[in-house]
Amino acid sequence: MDFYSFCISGNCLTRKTLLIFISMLKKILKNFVLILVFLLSSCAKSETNITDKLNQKLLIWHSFIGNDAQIFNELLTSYQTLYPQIQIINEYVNNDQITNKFIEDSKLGLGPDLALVEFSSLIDLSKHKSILELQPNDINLTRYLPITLNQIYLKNKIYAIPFSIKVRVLCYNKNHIKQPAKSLSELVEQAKQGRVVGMTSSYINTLWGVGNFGGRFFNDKGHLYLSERAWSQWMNWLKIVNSESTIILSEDKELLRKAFIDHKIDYYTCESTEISALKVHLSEEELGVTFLPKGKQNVASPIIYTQTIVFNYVSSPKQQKLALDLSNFLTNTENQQLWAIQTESQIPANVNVKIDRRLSEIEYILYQQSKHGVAIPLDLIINMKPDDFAKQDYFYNRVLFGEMSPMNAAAQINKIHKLVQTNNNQE
Amino acid sequence: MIDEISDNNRQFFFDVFAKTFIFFERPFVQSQVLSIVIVLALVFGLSKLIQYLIKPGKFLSKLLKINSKLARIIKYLISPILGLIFINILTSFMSSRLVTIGLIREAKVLIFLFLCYRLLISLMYLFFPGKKTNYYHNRFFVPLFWSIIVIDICNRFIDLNKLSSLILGKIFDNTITFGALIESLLTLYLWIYFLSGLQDLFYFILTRNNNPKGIIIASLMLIRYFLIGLGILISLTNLGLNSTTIAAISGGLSIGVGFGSKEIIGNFISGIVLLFEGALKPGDIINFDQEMTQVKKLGVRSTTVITANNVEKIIPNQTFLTSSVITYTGSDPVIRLLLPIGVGYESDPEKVIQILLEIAQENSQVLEQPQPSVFLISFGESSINFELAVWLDDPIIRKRVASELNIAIWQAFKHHDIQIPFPQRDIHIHTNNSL
Repeated sequence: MDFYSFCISGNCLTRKTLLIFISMLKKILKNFVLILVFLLSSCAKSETNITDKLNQKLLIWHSFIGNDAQIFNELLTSYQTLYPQIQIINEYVNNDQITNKFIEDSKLGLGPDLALVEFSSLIDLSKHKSILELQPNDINLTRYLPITLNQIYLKNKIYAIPFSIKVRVLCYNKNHIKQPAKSLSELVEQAKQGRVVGMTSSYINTLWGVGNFGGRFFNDKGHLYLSERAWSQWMNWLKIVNSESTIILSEDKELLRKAFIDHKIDYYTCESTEISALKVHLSEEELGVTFLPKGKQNVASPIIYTQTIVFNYVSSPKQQKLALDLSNFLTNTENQQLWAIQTESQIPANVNVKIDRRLSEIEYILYQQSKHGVAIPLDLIINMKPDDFAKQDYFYNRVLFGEMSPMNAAAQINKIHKLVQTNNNQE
Repeated sequence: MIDEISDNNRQFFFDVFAKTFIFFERPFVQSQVLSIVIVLALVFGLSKLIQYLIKPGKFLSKLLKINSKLARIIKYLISPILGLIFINILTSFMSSRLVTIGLIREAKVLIFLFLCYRLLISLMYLFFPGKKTNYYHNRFFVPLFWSIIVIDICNRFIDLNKLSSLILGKIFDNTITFGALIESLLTLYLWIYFLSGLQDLFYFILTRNNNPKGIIIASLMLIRYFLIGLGILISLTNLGLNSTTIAAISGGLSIGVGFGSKEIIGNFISGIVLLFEGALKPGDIINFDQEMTQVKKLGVRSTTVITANNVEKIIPNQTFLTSSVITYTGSDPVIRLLLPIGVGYESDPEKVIQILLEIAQENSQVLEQPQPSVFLISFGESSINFELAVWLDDPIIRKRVASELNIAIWQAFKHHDIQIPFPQRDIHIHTNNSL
């Protein structure tokens, strides 16, 4: 037997076989080392300053469409003009998918460096550790509208930068309406005269009317609390107008929007961000925007939704720094002013922006309406489940169809708020 | 317009490249990819080593007494099994060290898919003929599996919806997108091989009860060609071509077919007729070009025959309909073999007949019924001529049986001292004495 042999149960590896194994192992190791060296060298490159200066790339996701997307691209282009070494790739992702896609991709180490999402997405994004927690020195908080700051904090941590806000206003057809209704009674009066009013109908989408009856949304402790009396009065008003053939309450926003575009309805309680889409179909002479109708003594209180900028947790430190720099650029006074005036549908989050009525009537209305808006702090809805929203809608609809008294429904809704608050406190 | 399209396409691929660069710059991606590459390299090395060791006569093969079938299964399954083991170890190792291990988890899913795929292939090799399995493995399962893998991986890095909507060009005012083109080509390709596999499977099932093979083949083939045609139509529609364009293309093709592919159509129709008629079927022995051949495959366009020299001939189907063909196995494979034998005039004819019949009866290939027979044919110049007639049930063995019988006859005649005369010539050489 060969002295190189290695035997098990009488079966031996011969010297020749051993030599083949060794040569095979050598080949594998050689290839493996080459791959390792290649990958390590690519890792090392990211740390070099030369690469930093020459090649900087950022990936952005947003949900803007039409004119808004074009203006947003122009803002990015102006940033690239200032910093030509930076390449920005911006991608449109549908608003309904952006949060889940962000979470899924960041789990893989992928996804954008920076994304524009609605404030409510921060709950899920932070839960999945998809977004970066910002440090106080990363962001100049004095630059933003105070109401927007409520919607970027989560358990005393900052997760985003406010970019713009969305609010509900009253859109009308200028061809049919010469003098838009300023109050609820004027609206009803015009409806009786044949003007058709389309109102998006759901608990959240009709909360703006609570302010008209002097209602509030928070108690003295700052917890979510629906003014039962004001909401009841508002619901009674809705129940009455619902019987009018010219006032349409519908949950289907798309349907109402289409009817408005097709000149079938004269008034539509639209969201500010819908104005871009409406402008595609309606000319300046046709589309009018005004404040939501006020009550006898009080004004409407639409809910405010902040559009925020978030940063990917898995981005490299260099990319995160760059993304923060870009977000500061996007939210500076000059760009926010430009963003607001040119889109005429986005309300700037920057506190220093001044909107002149002479420059843009629509934008002025949006901006002024937002001042009466109610921003629900993120911390208060962190434990709100989809079921809770569904229950609120259930009570709202039962009241609307006369199956439940408004006071009783308001009490039930406040019970939900209380339960959510208890969960918040426990955490 | 075309410039705009190509600019958009260029910009898209430029963005894809930039995005990939962004992702690979991230430490989370780098560490995951590096770990996966290490695992794959280890799996590759180890599986190669094991594959080498299980080769016949090698160390593990001897130790574990592995036969060739088992070796083949091990060869197919070893890399995905090792891959799963290593990737699981890696997942548990990395989950405590990295926040993000999504790519590793994704790799785990893909390796599991790979294992399922290899398992399916192994089972196919176990239960179906190797040649057929190999054919469908390479033509159908490999492209299908790798298409799924490539699409899955690309989906992580590229916006596939955007990629799909890239415009490649226009045909008769119909916009052709990248997605539609790839989807149409890939699905059509897979559809064709899927139908082929289905045809083989149905053939296998339907021919088990001795049903007429020709009709089954013809019916299955017609259904397959109809479904392929339907697939082509759906693919063209999916490609974005409207009915007018499809009509224009098929009209043009019809003219082209009419002029250029007359023979192909002729052969196609002949093939269908042959199959339905059942005049020929695989395994039939025919005489073609003065040579005995066996029908191997009856196709729609052509028929493949194999000669005794193991040479395949591809014969257009029209040949069988336009010229006469001798078939030895048309309705009955039994054929008669005639052997001429001459014996000397001193031999007793009765004895010769008896010997020849005994020889014929002793040969196992010669049929008992119809019985072998011997005839005294003629009185030749130097021999009495006999003819031995025997019946065989397989024309292909005719030559071999003739040889066996001739040898036996020669030995028997020698034993019984029966002369086999042969022509003799006396040569007279005149010598010239004057020289």
